[in-house]
Amino acid sequence: MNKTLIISIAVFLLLPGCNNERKKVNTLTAPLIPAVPTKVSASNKPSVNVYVENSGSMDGYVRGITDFEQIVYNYLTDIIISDFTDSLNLFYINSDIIPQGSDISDFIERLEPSTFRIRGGNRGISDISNVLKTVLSETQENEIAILVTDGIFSPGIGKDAAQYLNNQQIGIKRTFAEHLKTYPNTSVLIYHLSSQFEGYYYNREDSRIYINSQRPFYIWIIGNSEQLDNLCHKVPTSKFKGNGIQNIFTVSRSNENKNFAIKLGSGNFDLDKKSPKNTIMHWKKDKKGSQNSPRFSIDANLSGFLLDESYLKDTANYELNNKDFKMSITKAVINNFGYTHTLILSSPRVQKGIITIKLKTKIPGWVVEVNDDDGSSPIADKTYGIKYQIHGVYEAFTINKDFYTEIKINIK
Amino acid sequence: MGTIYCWFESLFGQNLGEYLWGYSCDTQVYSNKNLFNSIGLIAILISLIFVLAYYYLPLKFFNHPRSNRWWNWLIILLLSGIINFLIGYGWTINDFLNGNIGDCLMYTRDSDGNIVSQLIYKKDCWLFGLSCFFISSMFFIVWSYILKWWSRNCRHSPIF
Repeated sequence: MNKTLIISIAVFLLLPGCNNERKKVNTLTAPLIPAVPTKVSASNKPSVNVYVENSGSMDGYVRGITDFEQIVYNYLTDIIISDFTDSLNLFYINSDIIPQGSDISDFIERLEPSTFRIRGGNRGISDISNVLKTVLSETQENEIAILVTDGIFSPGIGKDAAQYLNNQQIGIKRTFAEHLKTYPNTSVLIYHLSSQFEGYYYNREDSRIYINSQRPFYIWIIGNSEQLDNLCHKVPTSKFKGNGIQNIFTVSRSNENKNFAIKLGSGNFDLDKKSPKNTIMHWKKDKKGSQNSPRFSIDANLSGFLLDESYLKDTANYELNNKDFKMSITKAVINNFGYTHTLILSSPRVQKGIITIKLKTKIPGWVVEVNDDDGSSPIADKTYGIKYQIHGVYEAFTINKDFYTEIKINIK
Repeated sequence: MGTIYCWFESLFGQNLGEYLWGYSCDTQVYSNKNLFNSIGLIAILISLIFVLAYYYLPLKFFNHPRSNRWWNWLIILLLSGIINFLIGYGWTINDFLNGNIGDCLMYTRDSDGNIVSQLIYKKDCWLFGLSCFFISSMFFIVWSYILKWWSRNCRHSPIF
């Protein structure tokens, strides 16, 4: 009798504790997102289609040997020798697309105003919206489009310039929005560069003004986000010739499946046993160090958005739903999970609830600085209407979400 | 079980505690075996065996008219505690020395991967053993008050 009672009590005491803990372990792995490396398969190299605008306003960039030619030649050569692609096709583009083969050196040697004229097309019109529409319609899966253009609109005589620019912006937005429906993983990268220019500048009414000075031009790169990221790693901006890249604009779709995890030991808290990557419990003031405010850190993978380090480390580019929190960003410790940055959060007091951190999409300040809103005469380092082109692209990408990624942390 | 052990977490440290909870640096979740359960189960069984022996084993020092003083009970409690101390220490020091504890729990590293500080030391294993001593003693007391009432010679030990 006694033995039966003893064994019964012992079994009663032992079983519940074990069961509870076992449940915890079993339910942990289900909702987590595995860290997937974002490398493009070497056996599936994209084709690169290069479009150089050859409207009349481009002649000044190709008269003689210019930075423009050297920059384009060097960039295309780097793309080839970096083994990014096995197929690079060259085109002139205006109202039509004019194939130019795939020999880069021959293409560059023939970059002269006379060749531009001979190779044809309607060179009198710079309908950027239409050019982009043509380029995108030619850009299929596993293809990268590179467009080299001066980016200057030419509304023409007697047109309402302001309305023209707005219409161009809407046209560009619509073109990209439609392309994104078919290719949602598309990103756009725009390099702002500069070259000497000797020739005629065409103003908003197509009047010619002869100039011999530095002028901006742009290289648009459009394609799959992962492939563009790969291209940026293989041909970094530091390799550009001439004056180098002046500014960069990038935009890509929001990706909320980026891997992140709360950093163990980064503050005085316990990780939730069921959701240790995004939930903390028993958060208290930090006992270590001189600052004893409550804090924790998050390791996050912020790669793949084509954003440079300065953008990712600038706290102004992040939005927190709780203004009490302060945040700083550092490079992540070397790890096997693909984490690129560590976000360090602190608060003046212990708080509970969900903390949301958004990496915001933004139009950089240089876009307004280099924009010429008038277009009646050439202004040094400015481009007539570039703002409208970039806004059009930006609005197409951010119509649903105006952030690259979102991190949600639950404090219990 | 881990919750009970974590009453003593300030002794052996959070990082050793996370290891014993089953945190895996490779997956960043608690996907490893929860060692608190294993060590706790052993503590419960050992304390139960010693309590049963003390109250019901008809041998000298156990269920015997001469062994029903409080200090006889205390000696058996200490014996049970020391065995659990050695198990707790032995288990963790073995994992510590064999490199079974994940790097993320063992060290803080800078962005270049260099070690900035060590987070688990040998002394933490000793202190975890001490925690096992306290917890097994607690189990021993609970078992004693559950099981002593039917003992022929020691039902009034340690008190009442």
